Amino acid sequence: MPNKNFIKLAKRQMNKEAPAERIQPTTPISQSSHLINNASYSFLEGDLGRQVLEEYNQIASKDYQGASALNVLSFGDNVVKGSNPFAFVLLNKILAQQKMRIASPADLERCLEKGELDLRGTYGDSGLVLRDSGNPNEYLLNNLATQINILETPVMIPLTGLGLKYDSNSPHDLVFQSTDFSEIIYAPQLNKTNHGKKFDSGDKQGLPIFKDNGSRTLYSNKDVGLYRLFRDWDLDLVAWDDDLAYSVSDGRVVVCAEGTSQKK
Amino acid sequence: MPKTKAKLQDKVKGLYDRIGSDFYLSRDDFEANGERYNSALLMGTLTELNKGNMLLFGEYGGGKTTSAEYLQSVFNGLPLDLVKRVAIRGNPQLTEEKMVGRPHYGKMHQGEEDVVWQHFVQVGPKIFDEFNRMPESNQAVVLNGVDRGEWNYLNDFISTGAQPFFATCNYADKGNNGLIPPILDRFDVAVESRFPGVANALHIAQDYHNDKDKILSNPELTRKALGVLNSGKPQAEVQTELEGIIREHEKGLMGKGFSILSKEDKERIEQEVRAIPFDKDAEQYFAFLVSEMNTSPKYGQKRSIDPTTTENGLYLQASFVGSGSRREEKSIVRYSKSLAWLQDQDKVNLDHVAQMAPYVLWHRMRWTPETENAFKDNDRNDPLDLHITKSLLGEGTGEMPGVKKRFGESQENYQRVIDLAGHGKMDEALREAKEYSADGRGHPIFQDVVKDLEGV
Repeated sequence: MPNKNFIKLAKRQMNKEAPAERIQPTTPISQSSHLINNASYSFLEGDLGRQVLEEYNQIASKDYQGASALNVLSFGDNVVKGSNPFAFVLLNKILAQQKMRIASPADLERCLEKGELDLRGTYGDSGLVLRDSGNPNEYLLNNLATQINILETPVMIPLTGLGLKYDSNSPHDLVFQSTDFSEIIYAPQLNKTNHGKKFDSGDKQGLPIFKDNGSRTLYSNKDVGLYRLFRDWDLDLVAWDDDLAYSVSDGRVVVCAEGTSQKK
Repeated sequence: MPKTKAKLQDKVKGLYDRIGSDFYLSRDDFEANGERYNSALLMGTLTELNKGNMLLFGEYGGGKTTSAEYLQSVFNGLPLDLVKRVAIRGNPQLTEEKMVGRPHYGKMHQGEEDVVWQHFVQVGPKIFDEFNRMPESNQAVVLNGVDRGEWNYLNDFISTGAQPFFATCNYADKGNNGLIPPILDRFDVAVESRFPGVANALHIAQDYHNDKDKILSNPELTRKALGVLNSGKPQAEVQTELEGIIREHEKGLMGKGFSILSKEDKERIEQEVRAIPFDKDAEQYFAFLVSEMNTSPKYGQKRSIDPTTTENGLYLQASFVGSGSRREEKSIVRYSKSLAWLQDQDKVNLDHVAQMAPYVLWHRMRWTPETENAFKDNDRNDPLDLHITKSLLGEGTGEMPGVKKRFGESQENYQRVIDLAGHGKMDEALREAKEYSADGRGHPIFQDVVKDLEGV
């Protein structure tokens, strides 16, 4: 039996007309779990970088059968180099043991706002973009879609909330896994129609706030398939790259440490 | 607009303006619906209308006690010197006998039991200066009396009914005790008495011996009142004689251009304030706020004994230790309504609630260290706790969005659930509320609505 005080409240606040049936499902609005501005940011470097990479390579070899998409990171100039979404999800799992994480799209925007790191000339992955069903990357897209509830596309999923599983049927021998920490963010900003739009900064989820004369550009000219989301060499946001395994030595891992357990 | 209503509001505004221009010089630091006020004077005025409890924080010599004295004198027709005489100053040695009542020693020697009531409890409107210099157990004694308007000692009691109560506190130093959460929760609102600005400070400095206070003082009537208080007469007689003295003093005040609020005026104001409803936006924002302060998807409800967690998102519940209380919700309603009344509005609107709520909550909130860290380096005009409260109840920041921001984002969905339930479509309402709840990651209001609809 419903609470009669709630029914009274509903009668008091309701509109005269009964609501029309929803034509399109509405995405639930949720909040980020990260107290972002309390975080500090750094590249994965020095002794920490070396240790994490060593552990990463061991796990990649042992738990993921040495999948080639994971064999993309290297250590040079005292810093870990390379970036693709598979590698970053596995790195995040290792960093979490030390109460750190790879930077989410929101973290990267805050990091840029704070000016803590010079990210120009480097690139780094931070999320996946799920569009309507189909290729490219249809296998991965459908696999993820069975694990999460997607009401409307495009959807952006930060890599920080994803897991990774070996799957020999997958084109890269790997599939992404939803976890308790996965954030499924409806991202109309990443629609094909916004391709080429300018912006200077991101919102609380790291999605672009468009501005006519902004200095950064969104690349998003796609409407079907699964893509990586990364910040490129000019700080632009790329949401149309379907080569999920590609990595070069300009890739950098931005590490985020929360609150009182800060890492500088 | 009924004439009597306007007249009463004009009277109250007249008193507010007179105190602000002649006695408690200050700067405006509060705005609601485009009207600006000084927060200490405004909250004090609303405390008088509500017969509420107000906490005044500030630096030494910052005008905390002075503002309370002027308010109690002007709004209650009491000679200022009497207000000062019956106020209590906190110290660690204060006992119930010094605050409330003591045995009648003469009668005690003759084997009789009788109580001599202290002036502090006999006079309705009260000021407790330096409240946090008193041990917590005695703070509770005072607040129990203030809450009920009844004072007990031995087997006797007197009743003065609900009355406005002001307590002042210096910021923490070696000489004062903390105020524990249950005590803080008894205060409807808290404000900071602020630096009034250089020009006002220079003006105040020229007032050598508080000469302006003479306008509100009346030594003869004060002596007469003290005689009545010391007379040992039954309380009903004491009150009647005090009312006579007040009426006499009010005549003098009227001659000096002050408006007078009669007992009937105050009763009428109370009725009018009580009758003002919340509009839809105000009530829904209030519901969102209450849900964020009291629910926890992880622990069933928010409790002071459970850890805070950001697992389900950075809602208000993740930012502070403890939980909401029914007292604070009543305070928000009473003070928002009285502000709406003062502004001559037919309904309480969103701005009334959104501007008032931080002053009801900031002294009660125990922010987590992470939350404090997120704000401590901000440029600000308010004490840190008030600054955080205003921000997180409002739009918040890019990093920590506030309740009002989330309200704007989710109100449409909430309205759908309300509409469905209001039109009897319970199954659909429940289905949508569950969807918006998103397994605990959606707004807490939806988790609460699900429970209401399921009758859990």
